[in-house]
Amino acid sequence: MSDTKQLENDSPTSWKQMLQAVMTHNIAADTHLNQEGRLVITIKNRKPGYLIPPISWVVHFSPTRQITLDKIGTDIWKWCDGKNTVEAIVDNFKDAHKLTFHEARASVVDYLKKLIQRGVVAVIIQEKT
Amino acid sequence: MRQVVWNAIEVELPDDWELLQFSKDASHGRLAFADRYQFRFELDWTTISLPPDLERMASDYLSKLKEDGLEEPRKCIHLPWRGACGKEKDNLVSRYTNYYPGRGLLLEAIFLWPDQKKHSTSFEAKVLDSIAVAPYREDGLQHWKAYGLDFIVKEEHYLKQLVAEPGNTVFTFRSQNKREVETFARLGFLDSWLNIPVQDWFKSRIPENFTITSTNQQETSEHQVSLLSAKRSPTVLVDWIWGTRTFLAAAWICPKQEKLFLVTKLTPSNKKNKQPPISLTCCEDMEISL
Repeated sequence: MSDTKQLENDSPTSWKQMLQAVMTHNIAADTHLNQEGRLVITIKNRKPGYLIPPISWVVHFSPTRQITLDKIGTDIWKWCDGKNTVEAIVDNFKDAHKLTFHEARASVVDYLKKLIQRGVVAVIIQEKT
Repeated sequence: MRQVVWNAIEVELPDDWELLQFSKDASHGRLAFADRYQFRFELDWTTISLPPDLERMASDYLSKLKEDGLEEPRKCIHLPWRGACGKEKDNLVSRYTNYYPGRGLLLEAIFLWPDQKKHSTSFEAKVLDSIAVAPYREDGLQHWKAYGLDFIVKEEHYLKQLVAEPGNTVFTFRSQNKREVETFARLGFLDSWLNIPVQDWFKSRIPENFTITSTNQQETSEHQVSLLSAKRSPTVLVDWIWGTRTFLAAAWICPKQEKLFLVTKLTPSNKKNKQPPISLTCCEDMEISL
């Protein structure tokens, strides 16, 4: 329906399984606060197999990459402690920003996708019971 | 239970059922509501000129659903609503239809009952009883209530755009001749972007080529309201014919919701005093009319 808008583009029958997933930090990442009080996460890069001489003589390899999170990202990252489910993180976010559950869900899921893509956090999917 | 009013259709649903999908079209569309885990309720509307034979419609519909593979099909009746119930995939689905002659609206209410939820006909009856279609008002205005906004707008204006994003909702209504525009907004995450006083931020919302003619501050029930009016300058030819357009706006932060509310109205000045005021309510203590 062309004139139908929704908070989320994909609308599965149920998003319960996704909400029951547990989020955890990338244990290989180092963190520190920068001068502005923002969380900086340093992640080790895996050296690609093709980076051998003579390619490595011309292609620079950076052993780490840094990601600086804003306040919202910092909060979400802190809640990804290996115990909290996505649902618990959404509830925390909802309470912190006075949002409805689905407003918070859309924001958190969007943010978590970015954090996962960047290798900052990982997801533990619960087996369907 | 929380009320939603959309396109003159009123319905009361559990507090944790949220509106996730909507249609802007007043003649044909749908609203879909979800609890935490899945869609639970859908309300469809379509405009028809003649009253339908609801009983026959319900029977035909039931036959069609049987053909489509509905399991355990049966008629559902909660007068004046008539419909069909049955199992579709993992859900028990109840569909009811009713016609509202005042606006020529045929409504279909659809309840989705997932496996683990016990089907409750008394709950369905409660929701169906709450559904109403508001009659046309003498003042030509229409009530809307959704996404945390509760407002009154001109009935003849259509919903041009609705931005419904996490923390941000903006309804934009417009007249058919595009000369009149109203917006109603509820904006969140203020810590992240509102780093200047509301009255200063507010000035950035003035349309291009408009000049501020007055600003004002008032306190209403512990809400600090900023008011502003602006006028098109220089006047363009079309304004000589239809009247110079004026821009009126009010903005405030609701201390209860911690959200910024904004109402704006763009209207030809020759119509300004003839029109009933539009209004926006953020909580029971606060209503602003323009």
